[in-house]
Amino acid sequence: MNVIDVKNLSFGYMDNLILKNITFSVEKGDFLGIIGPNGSGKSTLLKLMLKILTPLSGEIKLLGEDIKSFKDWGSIGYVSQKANSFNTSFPATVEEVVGANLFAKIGLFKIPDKNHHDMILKALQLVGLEDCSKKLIGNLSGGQQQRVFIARALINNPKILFLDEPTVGIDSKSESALYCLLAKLQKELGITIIMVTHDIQDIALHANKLLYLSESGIISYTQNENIKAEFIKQIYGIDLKLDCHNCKNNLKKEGIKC
Amino acid sequence: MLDIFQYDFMQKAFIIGIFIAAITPCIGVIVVLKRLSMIGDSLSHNSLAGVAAGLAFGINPVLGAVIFSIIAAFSIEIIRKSFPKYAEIAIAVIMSTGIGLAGILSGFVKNSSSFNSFLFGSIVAVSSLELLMVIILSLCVIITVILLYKELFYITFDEEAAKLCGIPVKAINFIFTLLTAVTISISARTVGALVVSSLMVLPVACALQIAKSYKQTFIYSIMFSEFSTVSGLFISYYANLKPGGTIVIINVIILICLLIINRLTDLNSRKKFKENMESV
Repeated sequence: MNVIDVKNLSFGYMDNLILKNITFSVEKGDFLGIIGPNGSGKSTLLKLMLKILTPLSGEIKLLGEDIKSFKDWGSIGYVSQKANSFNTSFPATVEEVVGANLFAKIGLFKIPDKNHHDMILKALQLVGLEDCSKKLIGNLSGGQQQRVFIARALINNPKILFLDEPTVGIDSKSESALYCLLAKLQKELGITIIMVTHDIQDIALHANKLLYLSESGIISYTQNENIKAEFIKQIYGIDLKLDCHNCKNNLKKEGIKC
Repeated sequence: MLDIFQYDFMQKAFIIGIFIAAITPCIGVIVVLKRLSMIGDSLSHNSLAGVAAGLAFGINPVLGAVIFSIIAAFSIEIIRKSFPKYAEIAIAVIMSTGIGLAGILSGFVKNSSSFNSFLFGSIVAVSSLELLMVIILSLCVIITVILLYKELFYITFDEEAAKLCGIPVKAINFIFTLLTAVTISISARTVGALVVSSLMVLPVACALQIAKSYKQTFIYSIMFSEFSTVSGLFISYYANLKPGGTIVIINVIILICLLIINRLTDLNSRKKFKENMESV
């Protein structure tokens, strides 16, 4: 079943067309990596799928429904690029930030109850930060902050999780832990993951679909380890070793359970 | 009973002071965290223009201040959209407009002493009608801020995510702009247009030194604001000082003390850490 259908999508500013006639689909439980050079429109494509931007032409369907009439935003989780550059001196605790995504569900003029606090704790447990709930978000490491934003996106049990360059500004250990977490969400909870990144090696390893955006158009590939490596070589001219066994061993050495 | 409360004007001053001290940090927390601290100055100068217009054309000056302040607040929002990365440009443009208008309109005011009372405020010379107006408007601000507490938090922290999660961001921003304008104009009448911005920013700056959450920042800001206002009114009465200025200076003293305490605590913990490292 397709959870995202994009048909003949075009977008641009003034006379500068960024995305031209893009068509692709994403199935339930997919991990789609969107790659491409700077300015190719990766984040723009994500924002179009989230209705933050409006396309010039074309059609986007989320969970089978046209985005223009789509209302079920609780089923969509989003970790924006801004999550990397938020105001770290903002005096908010981890639980205040994570709980914020429940506010629309709780409704205007109402206060969160015990049930909502349990949901916050559950989301924090999913990302392994249950002990940090009372800490100020600015006092956490970059990797932990990123996980807080993922917990915030997960609190409404989304069916699709969009991430815009979540590995920017975090160390390699936190990056590995992040990919582990995403794999867990995809495999154990069946969440469809759409991730924009520059991190070709890791995304080629973990994603089962890759979507390359270039000025000339779009090339996409489905799940096949060999084709993914070939695909990367064709675009970037580099050889990739897509060996997940080695990757897991390295994580074990660093003390990350995967 | 303290002799200070024997006077009707001082009783009024305390009632107004307590209400103003509650609403200014309520708005101030969000304004400071949105990095728009100077909005208070900009709107208060526009409310001054409104006061001058009111006095010149025979309209209630507080009403004039409220109207001018609301127009200025929405103008800032409109100009901000044209300069999304430079919010301060909008604030500076509207502040200059306010100063210019206040300068021109004050030329038409016959009784300059009534206009001057708005510059530094006249908390002890507030009429019963103005007292009622301040209480009603303050209650409106307090109730709205409490009812929209969680939505205002999310919009301040991450407006894009708040919009995506289904919070009516546009409507709440509209209400907040209105509340900011009302708070500044009624505060300007009582504590003075030139110091109202300090009342919005200083208690929040103090709270940020010790708060461990957004909720605490809110509560501590109100506590610091109430403490400085009540103590400022007492001190100004007994030492025969201007109340608005005294309240601001008390806030500054509290902030300096907190900064020193924080610095000393930081140095102490570094010293202890160094000693522990050496013993290991």
